[in-house]
Amino acid sequence: MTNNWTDIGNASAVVVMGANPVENHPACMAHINTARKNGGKLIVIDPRKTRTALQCNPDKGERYIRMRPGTDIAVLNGIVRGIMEKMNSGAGVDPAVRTKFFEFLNENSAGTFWPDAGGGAAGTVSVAGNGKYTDARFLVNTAGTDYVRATATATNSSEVSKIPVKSTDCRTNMTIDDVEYMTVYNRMWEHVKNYTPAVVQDISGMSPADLEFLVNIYIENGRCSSVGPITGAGSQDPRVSGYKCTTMLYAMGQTQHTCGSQNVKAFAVIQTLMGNVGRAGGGINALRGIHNVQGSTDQGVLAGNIPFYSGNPATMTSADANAFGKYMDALWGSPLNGTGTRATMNGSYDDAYNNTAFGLQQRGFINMTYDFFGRPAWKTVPTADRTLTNGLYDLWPKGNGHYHITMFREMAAGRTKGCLVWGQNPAITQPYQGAVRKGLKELDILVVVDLFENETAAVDRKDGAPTYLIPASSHVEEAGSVANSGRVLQWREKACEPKGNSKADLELLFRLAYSLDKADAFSHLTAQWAALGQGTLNAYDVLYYDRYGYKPGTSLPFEQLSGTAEIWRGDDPAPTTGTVYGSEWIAEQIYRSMNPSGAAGTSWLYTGAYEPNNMAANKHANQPDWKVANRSKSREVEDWNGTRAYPGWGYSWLVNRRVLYNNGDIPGDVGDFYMGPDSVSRLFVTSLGSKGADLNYSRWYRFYHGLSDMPSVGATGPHHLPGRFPAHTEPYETPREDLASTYGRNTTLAAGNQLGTDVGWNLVPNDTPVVGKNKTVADLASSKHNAGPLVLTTARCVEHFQGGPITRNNPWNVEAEPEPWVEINSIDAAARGISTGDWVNVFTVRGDSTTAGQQALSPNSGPTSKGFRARVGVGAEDNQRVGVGVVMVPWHWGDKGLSTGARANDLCIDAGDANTTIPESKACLCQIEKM
Amino acid sequence: MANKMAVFQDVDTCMRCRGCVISCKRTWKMRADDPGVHKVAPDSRVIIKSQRRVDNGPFVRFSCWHCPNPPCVRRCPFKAITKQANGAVSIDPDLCDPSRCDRQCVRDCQRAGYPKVGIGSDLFATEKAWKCTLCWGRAGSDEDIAAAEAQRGKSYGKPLPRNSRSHNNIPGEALASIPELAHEPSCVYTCPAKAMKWGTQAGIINYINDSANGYISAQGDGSMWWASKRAIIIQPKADPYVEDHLTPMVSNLLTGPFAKAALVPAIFVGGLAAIIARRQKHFEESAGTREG
Repeated sequence: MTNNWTDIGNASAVVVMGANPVENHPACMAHINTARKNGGKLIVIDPRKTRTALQCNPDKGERYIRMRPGTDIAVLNGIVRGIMEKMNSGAGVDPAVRTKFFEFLNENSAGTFWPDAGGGAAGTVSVAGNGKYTDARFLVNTAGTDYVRATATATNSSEVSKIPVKSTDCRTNMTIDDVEYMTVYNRMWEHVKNYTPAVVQDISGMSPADLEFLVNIYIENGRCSSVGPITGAGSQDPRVSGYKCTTMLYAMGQTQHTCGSQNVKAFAVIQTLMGNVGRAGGGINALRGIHNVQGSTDQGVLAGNIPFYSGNPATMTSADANAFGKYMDALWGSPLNGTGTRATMNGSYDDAYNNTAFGLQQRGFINMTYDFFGRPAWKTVPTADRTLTNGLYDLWPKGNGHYHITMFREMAAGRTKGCLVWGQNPAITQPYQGAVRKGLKELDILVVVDLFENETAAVDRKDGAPTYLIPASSHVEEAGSVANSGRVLQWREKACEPKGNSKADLELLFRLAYSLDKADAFSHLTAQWAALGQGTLNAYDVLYYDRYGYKPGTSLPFEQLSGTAEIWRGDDPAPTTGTVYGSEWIAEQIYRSMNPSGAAGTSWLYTGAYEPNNMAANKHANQPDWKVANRSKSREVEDWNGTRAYPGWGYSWLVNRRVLYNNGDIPGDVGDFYMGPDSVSRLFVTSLGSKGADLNYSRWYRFYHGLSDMPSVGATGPHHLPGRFPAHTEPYETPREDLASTYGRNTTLAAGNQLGTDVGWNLVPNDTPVVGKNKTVADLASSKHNAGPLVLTTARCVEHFQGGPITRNNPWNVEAEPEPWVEINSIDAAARGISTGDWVNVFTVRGDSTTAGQQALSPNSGPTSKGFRARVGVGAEDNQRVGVGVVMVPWHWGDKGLSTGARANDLCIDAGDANTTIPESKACLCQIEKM
Repeated sequence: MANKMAVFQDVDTCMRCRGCVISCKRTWKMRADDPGVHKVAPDSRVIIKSQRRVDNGPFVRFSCWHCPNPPCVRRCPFKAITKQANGAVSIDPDLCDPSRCDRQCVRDCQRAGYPKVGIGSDLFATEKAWKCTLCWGRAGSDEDIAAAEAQRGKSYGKPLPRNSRSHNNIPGEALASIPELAHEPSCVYTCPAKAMKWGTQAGIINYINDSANGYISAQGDGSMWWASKRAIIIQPKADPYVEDHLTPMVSNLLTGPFAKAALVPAIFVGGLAAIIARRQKHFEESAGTREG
């Protein structure tokens, strides 16, 4: 989320596209309702008329609009086209609104630029014509392949390089003849002008009237329609009557497509164009699936990341004396350069060791390296020098792991031999169970850590290969910090002791480390410490026992360890300090070590989250001093100036910022420094220095990914390139092959792509192991009812949670939603003789939902699958849950627990997005028949 | 002087997540015996029903209205049902014994949320009458909770969480002047959409009637009130017996196998009768023409 849950209440329009907050984020609806109570409109765009869509009140100008699954970009580009067309021609739009629209894009008044001053006070440099939020005035180079920015000089005569400066008015440069003046805005028009209402209707099924409605919603609820001037606090105060802003909410409906990352980029395009980024009630807001998804992403659980969004030390070998320098160079380059192109470090990589030249993230990486591998052995943070830095950097594991889809193929191929599944249930949650279960079967050892025996723990295994199920405690039986969608760190307290023989996750982790140490798995650490002059050390003692005080068999039992920490429970007026036990104490210690006091902590992202020495840091001007050093325990419920920022509730990274990309205009936010598109580079830049600061965000982005950047490469060009305008691509399995041949697909990786190189694997399911596969797409079309294939999409329901071990073992949830169902349009149902209450077999080329079909994928599946219970739509097309040609199934069910049922992911496809490898759970082809 | 309290549900805002149902079940250890979306059973004190078919909403809370002059209170031979000073109609399960009475409380009730008799809760192994009690004994003011314990001779359970955030209060009502706001019923504090409010009866009626709030339709009595800005609310079950028992029977008759089996002969016979009648009429008309 760029904004925050509570901030949704400031919006004047809430566009929900690819999410269903009523069922999947019920608490979110309270904030949407706050916006609606103040006149905000709820707009739902979805293939399925969700219960969120039912909340729309047509009498108040709210609307639900249907579209075909997987056509979000066509719709969004159509909206962008509609907006640009109106603004360019001036037809059907208020002249004052039009003037403000271009005023924002061409902002020619003196803007204010706040460069980062290395953690100190922010300096102010005025740059005439400085842009704030938009790329609209970035120029495109003469070759038309890349973005360029002219050099600007600040009013104090210091050079501020690569700031977007005002180009000639967008409106007068609508041809691409004069490339010198061709702004990104104009290039964008060239790209989207083909998405006419007729084209959008052909692709997505959305009527031109609905598209026009959406265009007007964006125009009426953008910066151009808000009260007051185009910039400045007066125009951006959500408390002022007439404040207009659109927020966009999305979830898996956007991301689980082969074009998932492009979908999200399309969100960014439209919000940037309308000036809705960095404003209260605006932004692009991903509704996270669980309370700590943001936290787990921060901690680098993805295959290509180490904690806090640094790429893996992947390609460098320790044999290279300059490995560390090359890593720093590859990720960020030399931070101090003033030219438009990337500056390479010198041949000896001196800048990589130059403490004054580090950006925040670079310094964070070095601090993390020293804290992980140095401080425990040295008992203090050793003085940094080149030899030591190289030696400690050596200890990072090198190379990427496997992405989620490829992981199971590696297992099936026998290259991955063991798997530890911790709090996950891939035998339910991962599309194409044929591949997943084949992989899990071939493992030599499988360890599952969960509350219940889930489907993964019960998966069919090869002869003699053991599966271990370790009983974990639940989230209320252990403590620790979580980071929610709004990037808010909150402390979760232990409400009761772990039940039976179950253990807190932290205790299990410590015990795992202890066992690994006994098996000599950390010998590379001890050897390196010895080589660096620390003598013979025991790795577990150094890394765990000395730091946190727990050693199985030696120290007190885990739950009896204790220490002193802040406690803020219930309605305490202020926190007290007291003795805490077990995970409360261990987690507190880890949290403190992660966030040492000071500007650059080990976890640079969470800087300031533990701050015992400065209780006034990162607080809003109206807010009294913090009451706790551990800011995640803060529970101030005051909204200090009525802008729904609640800056004292938990702690939001970065620097307690509740609205990202805010340049300080929002009065409810803390910190008043620039956070425009350039601001991301703030993370890398410490000071202007003599060379000036390079604030070219797209440069960092491109080089981080090792990619070139092209604004547009035509409809069927490589779609995954960053910086490219999003273009419609068809799902891998589509009923519209004609559109696929025109617009292409986003599954094939071009040479040179980071993922393609690392994975070495094409993200289309051609190479999948064929288990239980007995049909082709052609078979789907020529089934016995002679009706074409349907599009299968998946959803979640409010009663069940993810892979279901928790809720399908809870009698109340099971009672509320006892069996999986399939939603069918009445026309499709009538063609196949299906009526509500019938059991329906849904089948794809990957499997079917009969017991036989499920056992073909996993022989020990119980005789549980009766298929899906039909819920057939009633009444007019607009009132039905799904449109003609689409069916929906929930995917929570499996063959374990109190409630069993057909596994939807036996059917779903695992064709992956070319950027992120996320599988296309939301669209594949299927056929249905009455069982 | 105790305030008369009530629950208000804004049916437009309700999204049928059934958090209130689960919370109620958890609070009173109600069972989870029979699946069903719109279940009427002893283990359901609160249910959420859609007014239109296929769950299209608006979603209306069906639970005891806590009538001002409840027939169940008068009828109970064991004096187990009591109209409390804060408006709640409570049942003391220790006194209730359906095996020794003719269950007049069920039949006399003309409203939604009538008592259902059965083994509804894990707390009691024998049949009891179950319905919403506004969490009597665990919600309301601290004095109410103490009074409930004194009345019954033992506690109903741990008081529900203290209402310190005032999110579900009627605007203008505060804990300082209305001690009953101290503990909300479990359904109200659970509601994630904030569709329910806990306030004084007078305050809720004023809130609904205030034109600034825009409600066009309302229902309610005693301690249960509904209002909508979009739809006309049908009174939740004027005759619950018809709703729960007769309507499904009639519906089954019209759509079940019997109806289908009867349809063909009925159409055949009806068609035949129509043809005969038409021929007869035609014959009479043509005869008339001849005569003319």
